[in-house]
Amino acid sequence: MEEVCCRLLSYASIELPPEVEVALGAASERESQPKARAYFKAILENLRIARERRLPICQDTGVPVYYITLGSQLPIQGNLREAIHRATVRATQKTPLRQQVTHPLTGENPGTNVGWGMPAIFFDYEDGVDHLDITAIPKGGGAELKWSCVVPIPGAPREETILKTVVDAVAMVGGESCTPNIVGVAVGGFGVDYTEALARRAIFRSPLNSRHPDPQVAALEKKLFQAVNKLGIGPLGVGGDTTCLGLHMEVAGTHSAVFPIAVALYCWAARYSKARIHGDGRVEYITHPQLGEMTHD
Amino acid sequence: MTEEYRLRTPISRDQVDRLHLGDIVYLSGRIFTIRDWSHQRIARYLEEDKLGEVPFSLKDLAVLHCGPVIEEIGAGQWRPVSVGATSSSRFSPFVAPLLRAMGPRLIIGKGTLTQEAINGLVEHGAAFLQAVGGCAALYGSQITKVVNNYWPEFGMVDSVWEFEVENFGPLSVEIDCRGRSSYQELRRVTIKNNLMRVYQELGLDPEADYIWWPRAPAGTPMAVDYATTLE
Repeated sequence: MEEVCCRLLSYASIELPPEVEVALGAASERESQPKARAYFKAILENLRIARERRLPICQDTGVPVYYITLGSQLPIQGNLREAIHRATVRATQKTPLRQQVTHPLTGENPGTNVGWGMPAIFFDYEDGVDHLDITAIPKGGGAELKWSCVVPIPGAPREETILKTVVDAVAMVGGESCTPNIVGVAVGGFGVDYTEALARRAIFRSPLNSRHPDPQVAALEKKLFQAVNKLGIGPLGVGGDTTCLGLHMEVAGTHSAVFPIAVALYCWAARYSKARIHGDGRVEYITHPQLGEMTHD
Repeated sequence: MTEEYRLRTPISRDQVDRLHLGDIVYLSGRIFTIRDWSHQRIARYLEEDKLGEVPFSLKDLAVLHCGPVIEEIGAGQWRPVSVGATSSSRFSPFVAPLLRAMGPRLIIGKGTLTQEAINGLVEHGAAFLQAVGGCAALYGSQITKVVNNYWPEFGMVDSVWEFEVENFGPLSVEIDCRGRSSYQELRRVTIKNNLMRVYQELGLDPEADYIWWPRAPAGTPMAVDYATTLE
């Protein structure tokens, strides 16, 4: 577990999931504005240098976030939280990652990215399976901090409110979230911390920009994806054809009076890596299969 | 028509005058990183008339808004790992004090600066250059030497790093020394028109206010207005 998490976090900082890189390449190809084309060229060159020289893509190597889904049939031995902490310390040293986690009141920094309840580990549970899913995310600040979460007036027209909120959220940030972004939207959930968590989690849906199984949600996703890409914000907000690489929406039941809406953003350097550990100990690296061929270090 | 410039520090007022919005710059010479804590310290030293205690000079040089990843490979020897620009807008209140105190000619960062900072650039004849956000492997590879580290008590991220760079770029002129800003112009015309067109296509009223809460962000003057008037 420790070894897997360490590999995921470290590798995610250096190489994007292939589908994100493909989407950036496609956006670069179809870009019509010269300045935006120059920016895409720098972005793709940066990805190449990071891969070849084994360097973090962005100096903001983020605050590590882990999503863990435990299968009910998996006999867990040992302490998962401790293993993830050790993995984070190791990945911070060996990559190296920026030492970001600090005490919120004193600014004290232990230099390990571990401390005072961090890294954030979100545990989920799946009945009837004998595997464990991990998503490791070095989540940078530029996009993470520019979220929106609002509670509409009870009785506000639902579709119009959702459309306007999402379009406004992207337009307000205007590229400061290091566009093109992956946009995660959530509607419903109660309280709003649940809404926000769903929106952030929606970012990591694969395939990128695939549609929700509920046709009503899928129709909103499609409308919004097209709408935000017509804003002309472009890469890093310099003006261009692609503002959003993918838009994923989730919905959840809510208090009858309200339908909270959250919008979470991920920068173009949308770094994450996923793996599945099976009951028999086999590890399947999902976003970066080459991790399975690395030797233990 | 946008131009491409290869500049070497020190940068003169004349060179800054020639830079226009959208021009691309590749910079060689000396640059210094600056971030939240170092900006604050310089502003405080300026206030307390203690600028003599700043252990480096920025006169006619360039500063980079950045908290880098640097690896120490020996005593006083470092390797740049990932060095890219951080969001500059948060440093806006510190820009004019920095220019007054230290006189750099170029400020390099990500995104843009507020009007307060733009006024400072005009007053001191400096320009703001935008690095492509997130491209820290690319920019880091253009550092030929990590020369020095000042105020190490701030830690790797917030201390001041002095770099020797070669063709550090691309950097685009985001705010020129006449106070024009690409972002402002783009937002006020292109983005505004696009946004209105999107509202129209989606059948939305731009004036509609559907939101119950929050009415204003806590910690802002808007919150005070709301708390005291309920408007």
